[in-house]
Amino acid sequence: MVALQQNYEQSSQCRHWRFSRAKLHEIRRATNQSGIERARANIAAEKDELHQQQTQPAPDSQDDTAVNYLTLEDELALCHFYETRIETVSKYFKFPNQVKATAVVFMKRFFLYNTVMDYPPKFIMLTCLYLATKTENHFIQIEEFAKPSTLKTTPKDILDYEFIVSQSLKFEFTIHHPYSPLYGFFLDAQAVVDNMALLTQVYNKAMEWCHKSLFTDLVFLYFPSQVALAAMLLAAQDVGWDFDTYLTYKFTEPVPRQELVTILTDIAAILKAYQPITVTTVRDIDRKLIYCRNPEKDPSSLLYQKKLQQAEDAEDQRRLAKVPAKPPSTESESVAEGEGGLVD
Amino acid sequence: MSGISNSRYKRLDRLGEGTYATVYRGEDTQTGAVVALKDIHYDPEEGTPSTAVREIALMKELRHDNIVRLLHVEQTENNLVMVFEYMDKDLKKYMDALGTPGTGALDATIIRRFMYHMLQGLAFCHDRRVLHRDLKPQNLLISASGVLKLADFGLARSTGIPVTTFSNEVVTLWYRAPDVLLGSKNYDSAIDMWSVGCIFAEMFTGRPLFPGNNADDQINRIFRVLGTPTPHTWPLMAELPNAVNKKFAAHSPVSLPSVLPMMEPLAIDLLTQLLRYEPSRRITAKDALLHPYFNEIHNHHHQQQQQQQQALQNMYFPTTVIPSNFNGYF
Repeated sequence: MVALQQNYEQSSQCRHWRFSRAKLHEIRRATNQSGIERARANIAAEKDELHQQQTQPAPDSQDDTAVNYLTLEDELALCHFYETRIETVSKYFKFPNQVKATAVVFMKRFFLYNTVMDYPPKFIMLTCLYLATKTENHFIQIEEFAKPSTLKTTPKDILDYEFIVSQSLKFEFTIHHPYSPLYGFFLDAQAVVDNMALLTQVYNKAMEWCHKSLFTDLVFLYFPSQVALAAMLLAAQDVGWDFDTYLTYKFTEPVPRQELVTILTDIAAILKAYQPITVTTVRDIDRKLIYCRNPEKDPSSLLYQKKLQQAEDAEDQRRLAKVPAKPPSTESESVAEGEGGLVD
Repeated sequence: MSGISNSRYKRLDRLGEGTYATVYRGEDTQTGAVVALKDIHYDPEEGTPSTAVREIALMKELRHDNIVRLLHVEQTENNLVMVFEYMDKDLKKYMDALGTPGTGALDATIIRRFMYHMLQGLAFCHDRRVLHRDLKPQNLLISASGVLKLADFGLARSTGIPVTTFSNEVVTLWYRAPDVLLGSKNYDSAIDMWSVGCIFAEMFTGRPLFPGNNADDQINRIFRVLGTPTPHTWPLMAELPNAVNKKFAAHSPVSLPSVLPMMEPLAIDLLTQLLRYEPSRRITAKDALLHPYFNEIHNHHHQQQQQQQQALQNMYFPTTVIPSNFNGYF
């Protein structure tokens, strides 16, 4: 147990993705704030572009106050909704729990430092799920993955976001979930429990609580083993099993046990308070988002086109500058090189 | 080579080509450090290959002195680049360059050290339920200061419960465990331990222990040396898919000291425990580290620890005598 705990403490999940509640809130608030500022600046720039193109004078009266930017609560609600969509899509493909759970954690980590005003959660959600299939050794071809018409997506949509998602995850793809510790406790409890039927009931109920835990912040706050044990506590309450006896058997020292009970109580409270987001709420936020998306990241915006053009020009410049410096013999190579990057 | 324009690393010479990656020696343009760059080619069918995603996932967690360190991951126009610490040579090249001329056999002291490093790296992996699955001299890298590190986790994977079916074509033939050769699908960390045994013997002779040409030849070579398994030496063999209804020529075991006369008795004993037929009876990396073959290293570590403790003592309770005329600054 101690050795396992040490292993977990060395994991990237414990070292880089565990926060206090206050810190978690602070990170999200900062992400939301900078997201709003970026969107505001770029929405203004986009308007300028539009006016320049239409050669119309910019109407001064129309100012930015008309735009309702997403609040932190809006963002969280929208993310939560798409996290639950991962469950639906996973069910369709019959992915195991591990794939689903990993995808949900990927999504949570991504939107810790990124905002839905920059990146549409629907696409990010699918990219996270696709990456999770690779991580959890349950890979399927992209064509097959993007096929269901209800997903309204293309392979390109999913793959385009793969790098940005991977980078936001710091390439730390290994995720620890409460499922295996829960299974461990289940096996362990069999040593002290005679009523296997009841214990199996506890285990199945606890699995449901573990599923639910995915949609809360618990993955950032506590160890997976603690979440698993709290799920067992709640399940014990649900089916009427004496959890305290097991806990006392498992943790004989009174003081650490009392500390553990405090943690378990907190986790149980979070789990019980979990409420799924209603579709009406999501629809309202989605409508709001149409007007406050950062145009810089929207391929249909003028600003996006302009930036793309600028990047291509810069690349042209770079290549032009490079050609004369090369000896004549490699000229053919540089021509071939140009073909790949430039689209006329 | 100049095609990778937006990379932070300058590609120097090419070190090798894999199925989904090319490895270069490179230079970090920001720090000047020499690194190894593994360029992973994107696949239009799947984006970043899932093997690469899994390798990165594992390497991010495996931080150990005897496991090659992944320093950074970057994206360029066409590639995902894994940036590793640069290692001087792989064990194969090391043996060719520094072993006994002609054979490549290594010195007994170096072998002991390399074995210890290899087992420490493996014990760390196995403790985290990670199997390497492809150990061979080419995947063991030696740093300029003579430290051995495990590399190339491209075929590695975490073993969770339940264990799904593994592909049969993983471990390079020569280092492949007999249970895998006979079609076992429920293998565990013991498959790596067999490979360790093969590499152990190879370091002494400079030649692969069982250089089979195909799966049948491979299993025959093993049986010719270690003897054809009997229900006593390997009770569960008969249940393996490729052993069912198969008649193997009966060979009696050869005495290992006669084939490997240069190995001291303790080395032979460890080798015997590594090359056990029954996977569950094969010694684990953790236990192998405690084998008396390593006593010399254990004693050395013990001495080092004592010296370190002495140094700490001196730091906190210096024995320096304060001169009598010292009136202090306080």
